[in-house]
Amino acid sequence: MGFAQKSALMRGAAVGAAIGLFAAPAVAQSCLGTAEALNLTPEQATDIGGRGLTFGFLTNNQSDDFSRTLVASAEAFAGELGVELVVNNSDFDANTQLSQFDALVQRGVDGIFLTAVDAGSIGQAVRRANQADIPVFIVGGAPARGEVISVMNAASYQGSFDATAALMERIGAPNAQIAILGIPFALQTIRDREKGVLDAVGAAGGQIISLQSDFSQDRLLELATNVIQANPDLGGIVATWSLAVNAATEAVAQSGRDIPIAGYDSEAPGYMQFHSGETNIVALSGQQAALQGRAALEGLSQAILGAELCEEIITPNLLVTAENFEEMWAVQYPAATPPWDN
Amino acid sequence: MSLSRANLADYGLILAVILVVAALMALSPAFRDPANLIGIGRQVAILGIAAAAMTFVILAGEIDLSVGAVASAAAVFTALALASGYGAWAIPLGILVGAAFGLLNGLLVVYIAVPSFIATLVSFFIAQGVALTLTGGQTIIYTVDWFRALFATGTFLGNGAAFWWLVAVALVLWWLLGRTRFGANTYALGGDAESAAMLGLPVGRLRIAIFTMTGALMGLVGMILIARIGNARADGAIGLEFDAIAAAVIGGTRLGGGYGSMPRTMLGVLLIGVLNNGLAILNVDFNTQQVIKGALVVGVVLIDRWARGKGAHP
Repeated sequence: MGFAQKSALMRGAAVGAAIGLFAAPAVAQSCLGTAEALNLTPEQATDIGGRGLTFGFLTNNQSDDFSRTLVASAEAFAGELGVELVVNNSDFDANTQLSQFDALVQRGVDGIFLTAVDAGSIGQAVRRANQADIPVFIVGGAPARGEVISVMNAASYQGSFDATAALMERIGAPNAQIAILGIPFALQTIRDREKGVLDAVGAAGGQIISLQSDFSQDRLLELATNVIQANPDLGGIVATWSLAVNAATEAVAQSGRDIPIAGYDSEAPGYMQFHSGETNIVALSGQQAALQGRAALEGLSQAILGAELCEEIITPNLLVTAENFEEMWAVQYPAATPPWDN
Repeated sequence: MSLSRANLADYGLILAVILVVAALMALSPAFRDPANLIGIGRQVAILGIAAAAMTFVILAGEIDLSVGAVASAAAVFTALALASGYGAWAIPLGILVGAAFGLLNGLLVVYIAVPSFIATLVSFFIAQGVALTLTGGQTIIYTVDWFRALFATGTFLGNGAAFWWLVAVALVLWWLLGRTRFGANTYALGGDAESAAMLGLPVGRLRIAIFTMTGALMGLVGMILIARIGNARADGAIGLEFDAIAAAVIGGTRLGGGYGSMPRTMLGVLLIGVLNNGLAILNVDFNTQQVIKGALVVGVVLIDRWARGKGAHP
């Protein structure tokens, strides 16, 4: 990642701070617990680059914008640092990921980044890395067993809460009926997103009348269509992941009804909705994959240099709206051409 | 086989559909809304076409695990062509991509003697790899309104275009199966492949034709898929193969080949579609829905086996 991209990421931090998305620490922390705190000094970067290190990056998929941006950012920064980064994609197959993990341990890499397919089953492999003194840095979720140096997560709860709060404000009516369209993953981040929705709806005096989920975009479209059909007084939809956002948007358009939508994940289709100028999407909460990819490498490097990392590092989300979507794209996907320019 | 068993074998699935629909109508006013009932036809279009094609494959004593990945790949090719301004040329392209993967399946099975389970698994991986490479993991967005109207969002006689594509495919395949030599040969091939070959049936060509036709239909499925949602993803139809097999099996198609029918497969599709719709309207969560649908498949298969009597269809 070049200075231009780093500059964009830091602009994102500034934007996040400006709109109140950063949870300011109440007390000074002895451990490094934010993406900014992980930043390497030029001397530290030179030190890391001179050690001839090889890191492994195990991603659970590369079929969505978040994962691709995460890996691309990590690869770009690894190149900048002079570190070799071996990337393996398990494509949502837990067994494949276990094999890939063991292969990296066998190879004797100097550190492993992991976005786990199954946090439960990967624990034994993490223990084998522990026995081989290979540090493991988690991006999203946490394994049930084994020691990791830190877990980096997006601000799932806060991001979801903020987007839903914007939706409730737009609806502006008490007792608004809200439907949630989600993903049936038993992951803490998904539970956090749903809790954010529940709390924001509750705080505004609304009520959840439906919670449906699926992995398939087409099936989500069916679910959203059915929920809209079954609930003539539906006030709004909160979609808790990218494909649910697409499905909810299309279902509302096909229904001909004016139902506002809030969502978690801001990917190209969502941005194109904002760009069209005619969308029911009120706000999307965007994870900063580019920031996370860079910060993960900086975190592992800091640990190798002897710094203490906090157990969990939360990166702030962006709140993307019709008013700021162009600026947010530049922050969220600094290396990608905006889809409206293609 | 007693009379009651025979009746259950012939009409049990119809009875099951009626019972499920009646129960959902009683439980939910929203379900019995005519607009919702019409919408079910639109919602099962993709599954219905895949299940109709899968019925042919299973009847021939084969299996096709590549249908979801092939449909996804065809969808990606079509969306890229549409986004690049190729207009109507995107349609034959999508069909050709699907047919090419189907042909590959057929050639692997016939000329290299790879079991269809393995051959279609190979195609699954190739199709998925091609789709992922083409998209780079990105969602392909296109805005071609006539295409979307033609394959999904347009309406005709009160129902969506996707539903009418399903009706057309089901009727053509029903005719092919019941009224042509091709259909009769398919039953013979699935019933006993060796005997069919000894009788001089063109077994190899038949297998290739069935797989190629299935692939071409997955091209159509891919187009309906992207017309419904307005974008294409490399994993857009992954998992469709299992739903298609389930629908065919619920419809009484014997996995060993040689026994089954198109109308019964459509009843299986209808049962799954009604359940998907009704359970969502009743706000039943995803995991419970999966359990209910799994139990239904087991229940229907067991009842069908009992009703037809042990050894009736080995």
